[in-house]
Formats: sequence, structure tokens, C-alpha cells
Amino acid sequence: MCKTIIKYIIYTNVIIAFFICNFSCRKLDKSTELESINKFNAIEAKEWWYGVFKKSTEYSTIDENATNVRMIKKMTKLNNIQFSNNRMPIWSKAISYSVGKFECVEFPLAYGHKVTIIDGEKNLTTEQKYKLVDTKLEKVVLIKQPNGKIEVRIVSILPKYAYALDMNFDISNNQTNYIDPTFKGIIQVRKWSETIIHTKEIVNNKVVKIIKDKLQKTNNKDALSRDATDATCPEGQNCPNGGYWQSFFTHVCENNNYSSGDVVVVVGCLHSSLNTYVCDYWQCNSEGDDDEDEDETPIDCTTNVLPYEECMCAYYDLNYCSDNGDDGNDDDNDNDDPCATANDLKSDTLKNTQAIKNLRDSAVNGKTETSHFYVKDASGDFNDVSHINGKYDVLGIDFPIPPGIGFDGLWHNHFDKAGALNMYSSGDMVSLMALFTNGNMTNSNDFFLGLTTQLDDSYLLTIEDTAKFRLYTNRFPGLDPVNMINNQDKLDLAMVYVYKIKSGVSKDENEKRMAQYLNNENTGLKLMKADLNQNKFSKIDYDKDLNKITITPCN
Amino acid sequence: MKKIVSSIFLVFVCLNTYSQTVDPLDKFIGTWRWVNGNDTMVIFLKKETMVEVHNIVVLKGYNKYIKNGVVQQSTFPSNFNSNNSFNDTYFNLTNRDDSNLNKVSGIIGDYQNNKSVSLTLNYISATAINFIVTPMSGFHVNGIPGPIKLPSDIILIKQ
Repeated sequence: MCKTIIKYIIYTNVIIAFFICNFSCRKLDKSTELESINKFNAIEAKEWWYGVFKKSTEYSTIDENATNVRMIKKMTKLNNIQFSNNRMPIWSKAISYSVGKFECVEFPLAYGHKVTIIDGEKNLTTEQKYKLVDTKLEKVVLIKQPNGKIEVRIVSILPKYAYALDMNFDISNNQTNYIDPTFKGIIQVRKWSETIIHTKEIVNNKVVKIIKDKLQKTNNKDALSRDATDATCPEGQNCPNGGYWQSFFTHVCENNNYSSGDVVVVVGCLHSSLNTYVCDYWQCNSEGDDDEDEDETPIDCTTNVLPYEECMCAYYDLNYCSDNGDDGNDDDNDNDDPCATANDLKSDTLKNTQAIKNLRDSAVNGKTETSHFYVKDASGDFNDVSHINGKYDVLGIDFPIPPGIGFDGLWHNHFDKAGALNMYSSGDMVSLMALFTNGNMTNSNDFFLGLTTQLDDSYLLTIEDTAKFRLYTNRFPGLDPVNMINNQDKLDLAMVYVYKIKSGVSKDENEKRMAQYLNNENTGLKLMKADLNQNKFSKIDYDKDLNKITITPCN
Repeated sequence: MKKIVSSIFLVFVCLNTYSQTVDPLDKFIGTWRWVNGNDTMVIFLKKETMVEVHNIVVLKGYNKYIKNGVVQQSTFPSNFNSNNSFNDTYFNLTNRDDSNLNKVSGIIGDYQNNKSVSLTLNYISATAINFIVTPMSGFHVNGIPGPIKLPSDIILIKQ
């Protein structure tokens, strides 16, 4: 009884985070407790910003090929002004929140040069486009991971004109942890270097379009990009290398004062006419006074207006992610050998024997579902960086999708209980698709979803063919909770009712049925099975003609 | 004697025909309600084909849960019409256990916790069904930790 209570307390309250573990489990538990007491907040975020981040290479690195950087450089050159990469959080307007064990602090972000690209909205006047530029929100989010590492992400929230009008051009109710269910517009997530991670068009909580960011790849300007003022844009016609021509309204807001240093912060812009541009901004202390409280005083200024119409090739698709972002969902690397991931994993898994031992023990003897998160380090080793527990004696793990965080793998268990599956569940499959769509896979070709069952059998799911997996995922669009539930409903019907992958069925039969499902539904996924030590993996293929599986050991 | 044999044969044929044509899903069709003080659960079930999932025939349904007089979740559309096609229903049930034709199951949304839970309906009589929700194995994307907010093991009465 006592043991059970202790187990309950441990499993329901502790989420351990550690990075390339040199620490013992006991130490990790303590550090996690301390972290939970000292919640990441605006003060700590600011201290980290100036004490660590501003001194790092990451802070000063700019992606010259990033669309925003490219467009700003282009237009500053056209207007003969000096390019500025100055950006600064507005420290006094912080919002703190948690997503699972990821603690986030959001600040409005001020730019020396801020670029806004308006896609479509062809019927708008230039004045109306300016209003949209004014309404757009720029945020910087500092995300503290369970292991203490802090990631910086920039988030742009650009509304469609109709939504902005409905909101009287104030969309400040939208934050990075809450998007108004009626929001219509573009949400873009970028690294601090301005490299785009993903750009999504959202309508009523649904992702309706993902914009593949190839605009920066327009090396041949004549072929792939040209000024709309130079020639009529052949809207809708095919581009030479895919995509189609579309006109974009691009606008860069410049603040001369801020451009020269972290002195003045733009927080909003008002346009009185096409050629006169008025900004409201707040005067801040210089960088040398970072540790002092800012004296923010609104004053007026006039800056340059740099509107620009450009005709570019647009690449759109639902669930079509950037080649250059963190998601790594690159079709060019299709048909990876699943054994490569398995072989990488087996030796590294042995390094984390305690984690896997705990997970297996929890599956076979315990009453808690657990998932470990793996991240590859620079040497290519998988490292167990954190784990999350479900509730004691309750099937399932509640799993928030972390914003902008990339993983290389998850390994979880299903423990013994009535109704428990000895195979992947529809929830596991939906989660895999959500991580793919949301850009949480650092490299989809190497990503694995591990499972240890109540029978001490371990399986891996890897993405063998990214293009196929993308098409499969497109059948289940939407990352909001309602859509996720509906998608799981449909997936569950296929897996349980049509393919009979369900509880109460032998593991051999469920292996066969799972392999059959993956094959027949063109998922692009490969099922693999590990030996008891997770030291040797075999591929499981379904032979449609013979209606049986073949097992091929990895070398 | 010949008449008796013919009659038995006829009864057998009729029974066999009946068993082939009566779908076990049919007895679940309709509106079902559970009321306990100020708590209410209403579900509406209709049989339709799910084109997107191998054309299987399912019970498509809407549900509404009221606790202490306050609507906790409702998937009924504002323009609900039982005669319309249920393209946007929020749960789909099938008979997944060949040995028990009085049971249908599937997934239903516990929207207060942002996650899917397993739903089983057990047929008791022409006027009563048993409604049971249980947790499911695996990840619940965006799921909020905590007990299921929907009532379970309740008896719904045919309306």
C-alpha cells in the first residue's frame, strides 16, 4: 500500500528534465521541484536576455536568406537607407504562461525595420493594406524547456482585413497561447535569426493553408520574382519551377531612431496618408541602462514609408512546411532506411538504460503511462531530455503540443489494464501527425515514435517516406482540440473497426494488422520491433499478396 | 405432417431472413436522454455511411451534457435537423465486438479536457441504453490532465 502511494506521488507529480545526463535521477527530481517553485517570468527572462542571450552567437546571427531579411535589405537599398537588424522586446508588457512543463514568457517585439508581406487581399486599397500593417502583432516568446534551456521564437500575427475590421483594428486579444476562435489570418513562427519555421493561414481555429517558404530561393529574379510595377503580374499562372505567380504587397516600417540602436521602440503605427507616416512609440533607455527600469514615454515621429508591390512565385499547400525551418519535413530525403534510425537509437538507448528500464518496468508492472522525449546532440546521439507521466492507473498521456520546440523522438509505454492496447493507438497516430504538422520534429526522416507494451515488447514507428506521410497526414487536417478529436475518431474507426487493431487481440495478430494498416493506407510509416534489450531491431513489412508479415532484422 | 414441416420450414426461413436484414445498429437509432436532478445528457444517433472511412456504416451522433443546469458541452448544431446529412457529427459508433451485438463503441470528445475518450453503449431494452466512457491508451494531443468530465455508467431513456 505504502509502495503504491509513493509510486502514485512520484508518477503524478514529477516531470524530469535533463540534458545529456550526467545527473542522477535523484538530482533531477530535486531540480525539477526547484524549477516548479521558481516559475519562469519576465524578470528572469530579461536577465537571461541580457546576461546570456545578447552575448551569444545566436543573438547576432541573421539569416541572410530569410524572406524578411531579404525583403528589408532589398527595400532599404531601393530607398538608399541603412539596413537595421535591431529588435527589442518591450519588457513592460510581458505575458507568462505554461504549456505542460514548457514555461513561456511573451513580449511585444519592436523592430528597427519591420517587414509585412500581405498575401492576397487583392481588393484592398493601399490605405486598407496600411491599416493591416498597423494591426499586425509581432511577439517574441522565450520558451524555457524542462531541462532549463531557453529557446527564442518570433511570432507574427497578421489578420485578414475582414477580421481586423470586425475587431476595430485591435487584435491584441490574440496571444501566442491563445488565438481568438474567430481569428482569420496568418501566423508565422521564426527563429531569432529570422529563419522561418512555419507560416500558417488560420481560419476559425483551423489551419487552412501552410505557405511553403520558397520566396527566399528566388536566385533568378527574372525567372521567379519581378516587380509588379515593371510588368503585369501573371496571377495564377504556373511558375517555371512549380508554384504560381502572385502579387504581394510588401511594406517595411522604419524607425530612424531605433534603427541606430536600442533607444526607441516602435509599438504601433498610424498612417495618415500614403506618403506621410506617423508612428506612436515609446522612448526607452539606452542599452547601457539595461538593468534600470525603462521610462516609457509616448512621443510622435515621422519615418519613411516603403511600400512595395512584388510579383513572386507562391508555393501553397495544406500541411506543406518550410524546407528551411526546423521541421525538417523535407521531401528530398525520402525513402530513408528506417534501420538507420533504429541503429542510431540502439546504442544510444543503452546509455539511458535507467530511463528505458523505468519505462519498461512501468509498462509491465506499473500503472502509469510515461513518455520520454529524445533530442539528438551535435554528435548525433539521441539523448533523453525529459519525460512526462500520465495519471496513475489511467490509460493515456495528456500531451500538449509544445510551440516551436523540436524533438527527435518519443518513447512511451502502454501498461496493463483492461482496454489497454498492445500496439499503437489512434491517439499515438494522431499525435505523430500533429508533431509532424506542427513542426515539432527536428528532422522527420530521423524521428521515431517508440512504444513499450505491457508484454514488454517494444516497437518503433519511423517515417520511411516523407511525401507519402505528408499526403496521409493531409487526410486529418487541423491541430485544434476539436479537430484532433474528430480526426482521432475517424482514424480509430479505420484502425479498430476496419483493421481490427484492438485490445484483446494477440500481439502477433496486432503486429500483422498494424503493418497491414500502414501499408494499405499508404502512410509512409515503417513499423519496427525491438528485442527485449532494445538492442536489435527488425523491420516488419506486410505482404499484401500473401497476407502475412515479413520480418527483416536490421544489420 | 407435411403441413407441420412446411410451417417449421417457413418459420425458419422467416427468422433467417429477419436476422439477415435487421442491423444491430438500428436499435440504437433515435434520441436518448439521462436526467439526474439538474444534470442531463442527451444523445442523438442516426445511421449513416462514412464515405471517408471505407464506406462503413456507423451510428453518427451528437451529444449535449448539462451539469447543474449549465451546458458543459454540446455538439448539436444550431440548425439541427435530424433529417439532414450528418457530415459534421462529433462521434461515430460501430459494433466492434462480433460476439455482442448489443454493444456499440467508438470515440467521443471530452471537450472540457480537450481529449478523446472511449464511449460504449450497451443496449438494455427498447427504451434504455447504458452509456459508459473510459480513458484510452496512448497520447492525447492537447489533452488536459484530469478525470473525464463526462458522466459514465448512466442509463439513457429513449425519447
